[in-house]
Amino acid sequence: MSEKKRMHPMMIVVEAGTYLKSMFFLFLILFVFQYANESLWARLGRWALLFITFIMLLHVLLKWAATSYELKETGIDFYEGVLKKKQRHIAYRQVQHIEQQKPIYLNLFKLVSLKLETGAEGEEASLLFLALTTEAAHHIEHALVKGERLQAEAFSEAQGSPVGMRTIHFASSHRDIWKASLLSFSYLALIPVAGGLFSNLSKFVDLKSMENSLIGFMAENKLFLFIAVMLLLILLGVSGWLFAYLKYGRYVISSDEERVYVKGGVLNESQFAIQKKHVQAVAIKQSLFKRWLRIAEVELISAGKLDLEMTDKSCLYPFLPVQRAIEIVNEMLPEYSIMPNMKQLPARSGWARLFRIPWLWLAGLAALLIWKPEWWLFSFVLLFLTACSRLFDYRNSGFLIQGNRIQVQSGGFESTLFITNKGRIIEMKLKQSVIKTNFGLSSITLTNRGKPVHMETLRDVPEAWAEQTYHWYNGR
Amino acid sequence: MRYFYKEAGSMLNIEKPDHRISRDFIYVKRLEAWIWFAAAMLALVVLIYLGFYFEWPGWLRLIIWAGILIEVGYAVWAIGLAPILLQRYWRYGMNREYIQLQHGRLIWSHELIPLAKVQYVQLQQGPFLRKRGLYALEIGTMGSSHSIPGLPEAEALVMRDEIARHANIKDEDAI
Repeated sequence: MSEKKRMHPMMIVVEAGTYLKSMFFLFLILFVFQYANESLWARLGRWALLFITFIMLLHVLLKWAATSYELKETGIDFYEGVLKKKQRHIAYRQVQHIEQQKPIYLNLFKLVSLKLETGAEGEEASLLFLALTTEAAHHIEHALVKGERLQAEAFSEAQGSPVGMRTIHFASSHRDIWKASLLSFSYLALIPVAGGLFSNLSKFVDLKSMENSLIGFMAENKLFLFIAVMLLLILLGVSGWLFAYLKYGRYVISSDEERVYVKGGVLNESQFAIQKKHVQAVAIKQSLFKRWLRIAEVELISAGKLDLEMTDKSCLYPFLPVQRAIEIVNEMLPEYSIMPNMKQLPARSGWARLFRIPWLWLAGLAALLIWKPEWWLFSFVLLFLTACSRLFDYRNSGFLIQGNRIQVQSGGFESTLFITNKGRIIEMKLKQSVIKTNFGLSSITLTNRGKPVHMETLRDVPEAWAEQTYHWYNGR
Repeated sequence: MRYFYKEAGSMLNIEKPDHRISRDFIYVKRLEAWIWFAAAMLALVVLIYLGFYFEWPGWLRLIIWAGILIEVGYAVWAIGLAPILLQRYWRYGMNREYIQLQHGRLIWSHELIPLAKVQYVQLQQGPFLRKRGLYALEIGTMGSSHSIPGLPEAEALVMRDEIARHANIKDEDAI
């Protein structure tokens, strides 16, 4: 089994495609818009672009030839680099989570791309297999499973139906997709698309005169105007729904004893799996807007950089109903199950917070006084927002220690409920300024592994909470 | 008022470390501050000369003079007071499981670092520290690094070896 393997040749196409996409506008300018231009810079530019493209395509080809991997007993050896050869060894137990993508252009050829993420620093942190046959991907997963003594592969569903053992916590329904399409504002994406189409069209057709006659026509015929607006709205709705469906359709969050799985996307399918023991903490996040709609995001904090393809961020799914989000965490990760009835901050914390010097406002005021003195009143909007944020933060803040778990909630416009346990905290800090000492207040900072390192600070807490946290953590 | 409370740091009912950093560190800190002060002064004097020579506008020269005044005032703090206060309120300590660092008076802070989470420990010595036979001990965890600024040589070596020994414990979460 131990032999050097290459990526699938499709990797060349993928990389070349990425390059061409990044150069698309240059090509468009030099070879379409300025094609008739015979000046020196245009001719030089065209030749230079062709030359660079040739070099890049050659590089991509050589890169494919130079990239290979070998599955060993304890880890993967990865070889890469065209001129400067690099060899990396990544132990299976270092792998924090894995991600698999099936973009449509790979799926057509029954290929996948695979990413293994470790907790290491810098660029070396992840291994990316750009194009693999499903079989090769299966082999890598199998090696991981063996190396980590896990029960089953995360993505390969072939043998022994391990998928049946999984509990499904969330599967996106039609309602969820409607909600996502409304909340993700993806229908707004239509505007630049339409704009681009319009400006392209205007090169060939005289839209200006057509537009004028159209406006004239609409002004006369109100019914037609109404229909046109309705059509536009329907178009926006449908396209928004389509975007949301492609992104969040067939979305499933599931788990078994060892791992948490997320799977989603319609044409471009993504999958993600993380071992439960690699989860350092859980955060449930809500913006003000989401708080009104009782919707939340669940975020896992792990030493590997979590940047999921399916949500474009580190949360599992951005539009979960709050109650469901809490249940999901409780079901998937009992270690971090959320505790009700958190302690609230006393009133004096609120006062202390309000009286903190509003630096942002002062800076804003100073900037206005220097550049636009007559607008100084506007800075009070900032002051008002600062005050609101502090009040919200005060209202949102909460704290609770139970057994090994600590649960902390904070944040003004965006609130975060953070939960971790004793063994996962890598350091703790208490802080108290002279003024806060007089109020009998202190601040607590918990540091967890993460990328970047996760620090959770709860400000202006009563001294008793600080003491409790200290003794709880000290009695490790 | 609690403001005048004499004890180092806050009134929080927690275990407080009792090792102090060396009194010689005051000297090191002062020397550093003197050098910064001299450099800043030199720059300001050059500016004054330039202002005089090229006949800069009055308000600009006024700002430079204000800068000198502020710098002198700051020097009284940074050279005269801050090193003494820093040394007086720095405390550190360690047992088999934790390192504790506590410092500051106006802003008091107390850090608790489990030895199991320590990734590296190293000694550092700049020229001024060397002159007084002191070391700075740097402790790095997976999250950040911390430094105990002025330890006598013997204590620094013992501390480093102790931390290195205990930090070697296998930790499940450290994978």
